[in-house]
Amino acid sequence: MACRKGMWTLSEMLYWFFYIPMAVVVFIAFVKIPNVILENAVQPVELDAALTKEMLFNRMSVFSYPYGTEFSEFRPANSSTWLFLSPKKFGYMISFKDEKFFGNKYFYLDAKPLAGINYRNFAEVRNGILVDLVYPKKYEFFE
Amino acid sequence: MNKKGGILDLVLHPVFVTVVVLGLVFFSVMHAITNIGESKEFDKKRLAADISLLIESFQSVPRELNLFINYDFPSDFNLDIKVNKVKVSNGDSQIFFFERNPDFDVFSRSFKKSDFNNSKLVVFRSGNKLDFAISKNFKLEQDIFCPSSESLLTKIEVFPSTITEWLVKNRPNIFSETSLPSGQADLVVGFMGIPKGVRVYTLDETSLIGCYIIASVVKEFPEISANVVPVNPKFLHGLDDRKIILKEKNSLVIGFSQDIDKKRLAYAIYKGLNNYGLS
Repeated sequence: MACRKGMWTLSEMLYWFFYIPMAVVVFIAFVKIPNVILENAVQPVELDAALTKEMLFNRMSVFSYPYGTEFSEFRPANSSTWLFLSPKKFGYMISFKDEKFFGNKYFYLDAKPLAGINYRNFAEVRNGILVDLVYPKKYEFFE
Repeated sequence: MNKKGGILDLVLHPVFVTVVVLGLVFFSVMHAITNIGESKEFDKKRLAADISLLIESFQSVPRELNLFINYDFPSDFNLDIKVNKVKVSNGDSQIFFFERNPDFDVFSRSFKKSDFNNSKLVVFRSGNKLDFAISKNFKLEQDIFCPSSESLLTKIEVFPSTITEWLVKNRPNIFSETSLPSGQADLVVGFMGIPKGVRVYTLDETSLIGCYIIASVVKEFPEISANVVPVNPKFLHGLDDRKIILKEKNSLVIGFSQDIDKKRLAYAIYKGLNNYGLS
């Protein structure tokens, strides 16, 4: 009888041993998960890529003092000064005739073959100039 | 007795525990749902992302345009815009990054939540600057865009005029009066009278300098008409004053009407050349 009571106590102890931590985990999950989901919902990657592309085309256009921006010509510039980049993870390549310019070159070269799997690719050609951008599906940042 | 104990252990105890646990779960779910409704985290993240994208879109618009937008920013949050990130906070903060086009100076600004009481955030682009302000008393300056310059001017020859006197007096090591260009100067500047406003007649080589001069003149005299005019000396008439000066490779001619204050104009020209790059 004493043995049966001991077994009962042990099984109850085991029950509470798992039950209480599980209940705490479930409780925290209910409180935290909605906020994390809401924060991650703000991922305007596509719009961001479209704007960055426009910025690059705008930057590459020749500026004429009396007439303003001329979009039909290419302004060569030092590749390091096409854009001042933030810690946002993305890479781009500008290709014009035989010249190629990169932004976040190593990220671009690593991510480009994986575009469509882990990354998203945004490319456009205007007046013979190719701008090719690669972004992660959700924002990631360089440390 | 044993039977009662059995019912207590087998039925009532698990039922009690289940009810307590379901209650806990129910209240935590309700708490989470209420929090979502009242949560400012999402708003902060959305606002930070929205303003970052707005800054990027302002940098995507053709460079010669000046523009502004009134943004309805809620008075619940503080706003910090620094270098390449937007931070929205009220206690905790949310940030979002934006890229920068080197053609524009994006100004760093901080606003407190009280700044947005009955007032809007103004994002504006004028000339080379992209800046932020509060809508109270905001007026868009009509600055002129000029691409960045890496050139330096160390020797400028100016043809005698009422303006050259001021220039030579203020930087005699750079400006020198001439009646015949030496061929050694970084820039040769001539002056002429025109009926109205200010025009800078430039060659290909000097059009960027002309842009800086005009940008500075417009800032000093916002009410007058001022332009850069590219000139091909080949097509100028033989008796045209500009032909003598513009035969030099690095030269320009500044035309101005007689009603303009010469001292202020000389100062504006000097400032424009300074912005372009005087050593």
